Amino acid sequence: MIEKVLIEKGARAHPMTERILAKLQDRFVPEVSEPPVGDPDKGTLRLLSFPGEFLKPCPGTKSYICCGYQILNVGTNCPLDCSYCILQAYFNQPSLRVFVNLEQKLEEIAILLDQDPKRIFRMGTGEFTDSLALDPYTEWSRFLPDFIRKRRNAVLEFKTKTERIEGLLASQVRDRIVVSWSLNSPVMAAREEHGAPSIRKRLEAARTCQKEGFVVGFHFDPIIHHPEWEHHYLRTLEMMDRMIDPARVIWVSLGCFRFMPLLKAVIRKRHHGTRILEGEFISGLDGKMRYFKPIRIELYRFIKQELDKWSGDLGLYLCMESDEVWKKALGWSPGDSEGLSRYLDRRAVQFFPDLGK
Amino acid sequence: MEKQLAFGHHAVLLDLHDVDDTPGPYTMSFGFEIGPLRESIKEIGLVHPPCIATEGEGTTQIVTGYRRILALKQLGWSKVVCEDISSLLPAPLERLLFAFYDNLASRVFNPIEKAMILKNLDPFISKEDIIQRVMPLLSLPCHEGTMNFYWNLALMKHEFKQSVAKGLLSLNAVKSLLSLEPESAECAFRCISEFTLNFNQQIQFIDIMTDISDIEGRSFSRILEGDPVRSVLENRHLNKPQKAKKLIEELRARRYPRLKRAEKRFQESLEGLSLPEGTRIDHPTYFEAPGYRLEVRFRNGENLMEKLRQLTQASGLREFRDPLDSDD
Repeated sequence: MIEKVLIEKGARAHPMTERILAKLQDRFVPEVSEPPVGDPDKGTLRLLSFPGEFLKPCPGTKSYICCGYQILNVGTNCPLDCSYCILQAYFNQPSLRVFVNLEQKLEEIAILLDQDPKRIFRMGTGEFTDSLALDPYTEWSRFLPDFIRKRRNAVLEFKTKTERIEGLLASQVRDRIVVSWSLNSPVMAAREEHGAPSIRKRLEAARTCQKEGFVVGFHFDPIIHHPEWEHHYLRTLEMMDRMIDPARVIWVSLGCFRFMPLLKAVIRKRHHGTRILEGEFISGLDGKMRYFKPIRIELYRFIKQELDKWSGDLGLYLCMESDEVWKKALGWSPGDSEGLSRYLDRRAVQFFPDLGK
Repeated sequence: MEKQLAFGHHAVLLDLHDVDDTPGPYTMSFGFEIGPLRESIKEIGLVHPPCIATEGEGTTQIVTGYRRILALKQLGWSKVVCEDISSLLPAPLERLLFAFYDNLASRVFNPIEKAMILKNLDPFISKEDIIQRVMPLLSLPCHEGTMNFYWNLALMKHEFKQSVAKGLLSLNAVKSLLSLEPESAECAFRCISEFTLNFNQQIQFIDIMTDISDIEGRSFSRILEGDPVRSVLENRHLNKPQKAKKLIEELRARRYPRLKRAEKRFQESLEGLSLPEGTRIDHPTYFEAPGYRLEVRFRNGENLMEKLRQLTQASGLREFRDPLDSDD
């Protein structure tokens, strides 16, 4: 998977660099060129000291209801190659990037969290990279839970498509840690999520985590409108029913496929034969392309109805949708982003009663 | 360093019969109108002599003045005095840069000419220099992707380039055409040219055609040959702009069937309303935002009150529903 490791200026001194190098010594390339430009380079791991902020609110999207998530920015890009991935559009940073000064920056994040002890911080590392795909090298699952253990007002979510849970299982920390999986229909996972384990394998990993005492979550995002989608999504839901205990599921999010218009040409160029662009897309209120509203409602409504048969208490929510779609698809709406944030905070407290206390 | 080329010392009489009409390696003119220049020379004569250089086995190449020489030929001149810069500028790169800067100072390049310049410089200077030094002079962003696009533009078929140079084909449309299979690109280009699609329509047309082609597994030509597209294209009662509009409408209806059905239901429900004159109801773009917009045109307060009274009594208004609620 990793063919070479590059170390940018200023990154050598960090302990994480040493740890990663110890595991990938044979793939270390001494000379560091300028950051390359071009197509994604998923075989190159670039270690760097990131000068920016590590904890930032998810930018969400204007005109739609967002969940108030905080992104813990541990790196960018991902060894998986999902055809719909937004990261493909960032041509100026094609390699896998890991921010090796994370451990030092945690001190700053601690100050930020401690300044606002009553506020609940729902944070996750899976926005700009997969939370666990590089974990065998980075060991994020070893030191991030330790950090969270000391912060009573924070929940950390590891969001992944992989089955790389060994590091998490080795950790002693369970409190305020959520492990979640991105799910899709098995056929979409096989066809569009290149390099990612099957849905069954993801759910097997989730089952193992549940058995080991972790709270888990699931994200149907992006939901893709494809031929016989009801049948295919039902297969995933049936597997969940067989393998997962719904009582230990903190939340399930639903989000239909949406993309910035410029991504369309990139997808066409990089993923010949993809079917994800075939839906009826319109330009949404935020300028992103989304399925025509009745299609989104239909998709959400179906999955909601089927999930309800499994359990009516899954913390189900929609990602970046309008009040109208919430009401028509789920039968209720949090009203606005603050409302959704409160709903998910309550959900987190339900699973981690000491949260914020 | 200050440098003044010593002109006037290397004048040669060039037999125009010996000069080929096709552009040479230093020419950076494309898609121009020769008429005004020809008339100018006809009226006041040739002011600036062309510059030529002798290469290899004695071949004469035009360095600057390609258009002037074409105009002179059309005017029937058989010979012209030129400046031979072969010894002053012995290297091809020097001649190319000479032609470039000479043109740069006196006119604006069209996109194809910019493409020719970037492509012609490629064998002689590094990519980095082209991007950092030359592209800003052509008012182009200093990006490798932009340079690659212009290089591809330079290699396109002559008729495509003619359309770009004449401002009939947008650069965005060219980008889309370049991403297509040659046969599809050719087919799309023919349709764009034949029905004189405007820039916005060009992008929509290529995008929708690509989608339909992928979804239905049909080539561009098969889509355009089949109904209802063919019947639009063959409709003798429509002029070109009407055909262009109708073509896009038909393709949109095929690509977005549910959206089109919703729009149709919305229009049908409006037709059932007896709205007062000067009032209209619009739906939000793609029905994405909630609610509708009512527009009332009125002359004065009294007129407005009357229209509002009529509105409240308009038959069918109470039954007006969101067309998406009955979406199948």
